[in-house]
Amino acid sequence: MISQEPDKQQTQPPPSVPKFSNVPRKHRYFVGRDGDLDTLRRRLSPSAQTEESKPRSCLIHGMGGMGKTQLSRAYSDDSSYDFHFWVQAESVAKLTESFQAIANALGLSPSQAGSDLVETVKSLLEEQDNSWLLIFDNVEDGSFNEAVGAMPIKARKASAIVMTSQLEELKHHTQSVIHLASLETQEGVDLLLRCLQRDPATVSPRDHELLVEISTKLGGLPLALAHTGGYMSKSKEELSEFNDFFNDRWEHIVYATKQQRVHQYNSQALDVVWDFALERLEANQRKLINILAYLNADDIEKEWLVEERRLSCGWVDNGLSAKSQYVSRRPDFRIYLANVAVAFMI
Amino acid sequence: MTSLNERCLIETKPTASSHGSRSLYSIHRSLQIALRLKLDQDEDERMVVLGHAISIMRRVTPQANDLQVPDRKYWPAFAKASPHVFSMCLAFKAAHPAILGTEELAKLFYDTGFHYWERWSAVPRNGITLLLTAEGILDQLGHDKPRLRSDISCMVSCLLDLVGAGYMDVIQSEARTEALRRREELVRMRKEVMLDASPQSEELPRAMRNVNLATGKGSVEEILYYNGVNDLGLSYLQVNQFAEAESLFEECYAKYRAWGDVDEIPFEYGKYFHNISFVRMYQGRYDEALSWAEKSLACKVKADKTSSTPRYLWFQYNMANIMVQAGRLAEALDLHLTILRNRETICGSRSEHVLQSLYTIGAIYHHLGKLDQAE
Repeated sequence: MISQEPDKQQTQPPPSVPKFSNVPRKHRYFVGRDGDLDTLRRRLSPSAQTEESKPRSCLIHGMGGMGKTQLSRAYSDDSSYDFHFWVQAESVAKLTESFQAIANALGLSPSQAGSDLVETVKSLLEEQDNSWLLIFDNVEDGSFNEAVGAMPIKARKASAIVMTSQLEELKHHTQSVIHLASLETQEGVDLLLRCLQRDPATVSPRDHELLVEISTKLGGLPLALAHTGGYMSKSKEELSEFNDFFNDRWEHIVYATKQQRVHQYNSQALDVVWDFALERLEANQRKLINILAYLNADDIEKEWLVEERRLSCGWVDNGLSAKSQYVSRRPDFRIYLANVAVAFMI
Repeated sequence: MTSLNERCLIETKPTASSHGSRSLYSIHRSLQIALRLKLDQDEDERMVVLGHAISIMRRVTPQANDLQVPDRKYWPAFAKASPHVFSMCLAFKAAHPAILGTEELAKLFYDTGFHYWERWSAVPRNGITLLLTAEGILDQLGHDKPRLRSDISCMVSCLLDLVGAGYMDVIQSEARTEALRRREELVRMRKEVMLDASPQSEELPRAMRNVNLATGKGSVEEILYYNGVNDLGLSYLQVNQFAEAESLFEECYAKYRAWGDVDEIPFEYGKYFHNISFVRMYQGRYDEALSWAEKSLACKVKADKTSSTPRYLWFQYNMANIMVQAGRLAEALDLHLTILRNRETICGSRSEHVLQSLYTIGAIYHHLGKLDQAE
């Protein structure tokens, strides 16, 4: 429950600031998962370390959108290793890029890193006199062997490896596994309320009932709940109005999914949520989020986007598309488009 | 962005930097994939969106050096941009239906691929992916663009030398053979470009003179052509075609002499002396080989104003190997031990250069029958 969080935080000693961390912080609306976080702490706890020279390791397993990444970030926020390293592990290329960043953080020059960067960084971690936390985020089929091969097998100080993945077989390469289940209905309601910035105490019984209904329909899938909550908070509709709209959208998947497995249900839940969440975006917002789809998922500079919008007078056609080749022969129309572009804040 | 953040479609990460605070955004990968799949269904809109993304990355990604000379001052900007350009490249390759690339996109991928080489990146495969994608775009467009094509091919060859045979699974042929094939083609293309170049380019811009030539003689096209000839000679050495290699090195040497003397362009002379020492070694003319190797070391110091560089130690390492071939084992061992100590200091104890020295010294001890020391 949200209202219990301040008390809970008071009982936890604040973690000391790491000497280095490139792990993004958990999402501001992260809720629930208290049990999973406790389990993760116990499994990675130095006191549970039977062999001093071995880092603890745990796989966070679950379907896409279940909150694996956020749980690993929440663990990083609450822990006190000397170094916290984030490894994007969905492809070999990105994994290696991430190890390059670790090499830089450890002060390794390109000539020192040599041709087998991953192996060099791995052995450097194994011989560190500092403790470290290494999070391999989103290991996929294509990067499975490389991610496993990149895991340090010893450590001088109590250190830990967290892997997040939809691949359950990774558990054979870690000491423990946490299977992330859907959020409980009430946790889902809490997440929606947090997105709506509503105090649970002020929610009417009818609204609470509607939120329970939405949370249940979304199968407790955190990503779908967060995007739905975000949509609701911006739409300014009454909950009952939103619920009608939501139910309307929902109808067509209920029939289609009743014989299907849960993960297919969840995947379709995300499709429905994205459909309405994206459909209702203003044209400029839609253009902007589409642009983000072609950049790296992390570390996109705000200034880059501000400048692009300024130079293109809003997100008007920029002369590359087949349509624009037609439009560009009529410069007045282009200026007109720029003038009518709806202003929005970046 | 504020609205997208409030809708939980993106996340904001405030970050402190030396230039004040700045905001970074992130987006869930699943949502990125969903967006790209939707855009695949509207190719016109996809081109508009990708056009903006390219335009952004073009502004923040430096251009590769015209003479393909590493330039450290651009490395921070490259480091920030390259993960995004690489992600764009992967998205471009995965698009279905395929996206029709543009020359601008090919150039962006080339510039970023160049950066992977210029800082001897530990992930040369990513650089090769970028460069081959750039090359694929030029093929797709049916563009001749010999200058860009040859620049791409040159960098692919250099990166192939870095990754060696380990890249065979992707390239489908032995990496060095592929590098040789590319360099032969490269020399042909650069010769065309050089011959087509206008005579007005005889005088080099000042910046390029500082980087490459002190004399101001020659043109960018000419310098690039002879760099290509030199690299092709190195590829011939790797496949033991010494006569062909020697002929190319001599062609370069003749041009260097026309450009200036050893005091004016020590870097170019050093390259020739170093390369020709290998040719002589393979010909069994060891005394001559060692004499050229010593000259190459002198040029290296003249060019770099110091002997404390990994590249100087590499030249020295090769000279010690010539001593081994000449049967001067004790002398070679002393020199190798010195190089090892210097490499540990300059390159770091974990560098592959140190590993290379350790292996060589172990082999010499083994050859001398000193098995304990070899072990």
